[in-house]
Amino acid sequence: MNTNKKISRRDFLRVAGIAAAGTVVAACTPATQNPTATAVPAASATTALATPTVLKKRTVRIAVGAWAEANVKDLLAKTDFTKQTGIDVEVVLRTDTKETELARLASAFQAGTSPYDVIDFEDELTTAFSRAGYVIGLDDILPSDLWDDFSPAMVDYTKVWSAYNGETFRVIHNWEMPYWFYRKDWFDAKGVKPPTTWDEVKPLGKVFTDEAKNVWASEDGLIKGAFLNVYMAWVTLQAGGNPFDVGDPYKQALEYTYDLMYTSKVLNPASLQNGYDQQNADYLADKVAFMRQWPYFGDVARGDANKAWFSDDKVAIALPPAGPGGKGGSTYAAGWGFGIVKTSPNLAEAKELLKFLVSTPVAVEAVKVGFWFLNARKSVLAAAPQDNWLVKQLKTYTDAGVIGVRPFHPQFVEALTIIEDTASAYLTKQISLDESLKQAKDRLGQLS
Amino acid sequence: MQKTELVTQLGVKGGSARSIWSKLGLSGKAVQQRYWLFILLIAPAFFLRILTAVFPIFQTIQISLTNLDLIKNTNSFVGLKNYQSMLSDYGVQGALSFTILLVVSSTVLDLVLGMLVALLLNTSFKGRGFARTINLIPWAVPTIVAGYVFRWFLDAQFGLLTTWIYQLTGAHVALFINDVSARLVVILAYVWKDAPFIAVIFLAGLQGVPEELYDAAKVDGANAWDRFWLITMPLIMPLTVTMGLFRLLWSLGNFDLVFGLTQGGPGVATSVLALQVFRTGILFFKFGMASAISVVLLLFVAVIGLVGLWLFRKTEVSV
Repeated sequence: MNTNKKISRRDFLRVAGIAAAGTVVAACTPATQNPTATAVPAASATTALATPTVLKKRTVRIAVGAWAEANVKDLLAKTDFTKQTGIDVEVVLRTDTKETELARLASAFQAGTSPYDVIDFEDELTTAFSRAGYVIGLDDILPSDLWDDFSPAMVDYTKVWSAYNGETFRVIHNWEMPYWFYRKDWFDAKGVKPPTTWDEVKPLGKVFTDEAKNVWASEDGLIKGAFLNVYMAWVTLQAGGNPFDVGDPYKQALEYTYDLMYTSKVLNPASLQNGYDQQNADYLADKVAFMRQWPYFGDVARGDANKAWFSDDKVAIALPPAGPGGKGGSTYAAGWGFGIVKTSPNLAEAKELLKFLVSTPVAVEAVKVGFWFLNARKSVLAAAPQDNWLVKQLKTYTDAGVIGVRPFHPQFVEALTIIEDTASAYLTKQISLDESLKQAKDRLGQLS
Repeated sequence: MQKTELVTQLGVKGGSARSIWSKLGLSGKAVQQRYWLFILLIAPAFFLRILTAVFPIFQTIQISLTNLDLIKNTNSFVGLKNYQSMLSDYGVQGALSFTILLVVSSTVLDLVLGMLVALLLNTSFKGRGFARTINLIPWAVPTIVAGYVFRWFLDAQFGLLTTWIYQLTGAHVALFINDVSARLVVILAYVWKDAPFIAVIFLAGLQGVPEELYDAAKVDGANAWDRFWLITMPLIMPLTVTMGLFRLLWSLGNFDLVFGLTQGGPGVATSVLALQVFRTGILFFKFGMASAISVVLLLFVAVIGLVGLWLFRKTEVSV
């Protein structure tokens, strides 16, 4: 046999073609399952006794932010979820921003899969996920008495932010609001009391603002990118409305803010270029007498870096001033909660995990693990450490009835961009108030 | 080799390609094989371009005529409605005007500043190598990082620049709450970031200019100004056009600096079309509208590209 025979080009192409075709066919054929790893339904287990089988391990993946990973792992370990149910839980990280998470899940959903089964998510994503059909309704799996444990404000909030067409898509475990921080030492020194109404806020410019030293009565983080929208929602709620309606309360809110910046000289206009870090830095540098801020500032102020600066009367908290809408909407809370992805391959396990996490005993344990699980559920507030400043303030605000429902829009992310574009242009004197309102109304009108 | 050249060389005026090949001594089968080989060799590149450029462009144009929205689950043909909406959209209008201002002004400034730096780095001085190296630092900083750094650099309370302004004038300035100063800052930040890279390219170009030309000009009595305009500029003009073209196209598609620095504010004063595409497509999932804005961007790119190619051919020189 002549082993040195050359292969002709035609033969080579033929062989290569067959090999390539074989590879493609093999790649397109569904993989045959390894018989030893085949999942066998429990009902057929007896008939399958003849062949050795291994039951598929029940697992579920929960996606949480990196900041909550340790808390969730601790909670699951402490409450023995796996021991009780036989379901292994894998805690995976979701992305930090709502935009990237929305893009991530949208892509996975189009492919009929999901990178996780249960997700811990914020308000904006709940709106998008529920309307896009990415998450399942939870009413069938939640105990009917669950909501009895929630404060009335939390129930109202849930109906707006966690539900769509009457169906609940998320159960919140974290519920927090901007608090009204103030320098009690400065207020005491000047002999003034914290303002209780909008009208009482305006004269504080004369009391505290010293433009030469760049000290202002108040400051905020109002840069575009959801910061300004949070403030406009907060102040419009105080006026008794919703900015997305572009009605009189929103107009009042814009006028009030403009007045605070340029007439009463209460609110530093540079707030419009600041994020929360810059706002906090200014407060910690003794440049601000009072400000609206999320509770994390309380931890920042008490942190090691500010040990020398901190004292309780520098970071006192009062109820926010009430606007024309009355004290019931002086502030609003935003929340994070658990939901289940519709394309989850482990739906049954996901439902079990969610039911477990939102149950009252586990919610009580959770707040002992970490404040990521702090909210105004009756059982949670009762079980939370009573000497903690945040727990005290949450109770104070809840008992005072100052927490309104966060202003809502079904296309929230896009709507807030419109509010920010137009409000920012007015507050930086680029367009008139009427033009700002017209632009906002026209563009929001096109969304529906 | 062009067919006309071949025809001239072979003296087969009016002959077909087949007759030309036969003059070259190639049989019909051999010619066919060469054609197949030619097709085989260019096919991968051809299909790659179809797949990665032509198809997405046509797909984008097609989607721009629909109301494709992943949140609302709509996908119907709406004709030119998206384009009509853009005309009345305050956000898009603002983005369009600032995009034009930004790409034109920052490109011109980049080229001027890049040239000045390149001329400086092309002279002999002690520490030239070090200077050439540190020149590139701004370019090496990730753009989004530069955006956030500039925000703090210009912070009204603690910013380095604002503190200097305060020390000089006694005024506390907040540059991002005024549309004019905010635009100026964004443009200058782009220039700070990109001019060093342009300078390095120009430096390479300057080093390619034959020294004899300068020597001859000196003998003829040309001063430094004359030498620059009569020798340097004409010789590096193709490079200038190319870099200008690239710079225009890069800045049309970028929004990371704006995103980190101003988020497009105040109002929509520093918003750019690429940021609008990102928001509309990735944040709002309105792919129909985002595609329409992309098509407008594409038109910009096409026009700039054509003008650039025309300029490039016009300024081509050989030494």
